[in-house]
Amino acid sequence: MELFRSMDISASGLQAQRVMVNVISTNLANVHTTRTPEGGPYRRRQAIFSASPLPQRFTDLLNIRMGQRPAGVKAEVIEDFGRKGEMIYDPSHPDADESGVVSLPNVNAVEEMVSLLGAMRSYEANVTAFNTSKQMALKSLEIGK
Amino acid sequence: MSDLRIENTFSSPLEKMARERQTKANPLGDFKKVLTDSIGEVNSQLLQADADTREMIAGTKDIHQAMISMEEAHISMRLLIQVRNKVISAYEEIMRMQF
Repeated sequence: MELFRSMDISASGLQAQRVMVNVISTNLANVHTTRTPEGGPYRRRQAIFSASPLPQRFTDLLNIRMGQRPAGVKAEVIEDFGRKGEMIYDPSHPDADESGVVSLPNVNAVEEMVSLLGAMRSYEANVTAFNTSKQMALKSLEIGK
Repeated sequence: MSDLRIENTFSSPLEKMARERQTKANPLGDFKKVLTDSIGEVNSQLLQADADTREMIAGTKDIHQAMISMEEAHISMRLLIQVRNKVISAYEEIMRMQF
């Protein structure tokens, strides 16, 4: 049913924004993490969104559609190796290397907060889109009243 | 096996027309089948909403997925109620016919 397809799209958007918020929370929690199991300081994680095909409902599997264009969104989490973190000279720190330099995570707290606001607004926008399509459906049930 | 049909020799052209009209008029099967199918689908959506809510409480699913399943079940139920209303009003209309 085409109606529920638009709801699936909103659902994938909500899911992707939730992943984004989780990533930002991880970054904010680890803003001072200097040691990780892999060694080295914490690396900032980033969520990359890509358009992806929607998961098929059972009724769609019966009507095989060729060349289904992607309509939903999928979030992938990658680590940001490009940006360098701060390096502080502090020989008394337990994680300082031979020259006494401690490398801190490349997390910018202000930037993460702004991204958090953006994710919140996107989440609300997706909820509004869902509510609108639901209201359209309920309105169309009043045809002929 | 639906294409293997033993055709009767029609006694009158009127009977042949009636049979052709019947097979052309309901490509979905009769209305009773359509109705029971929709009731089955509404039921499965209600069960899905219930399962999603339980999974949300258990912590494996997000809250928005549970809300969306509930809304879908709600809309399907409203549609079914409207269909029922229309069927009943059509029935009453027919019963009101006087001869």
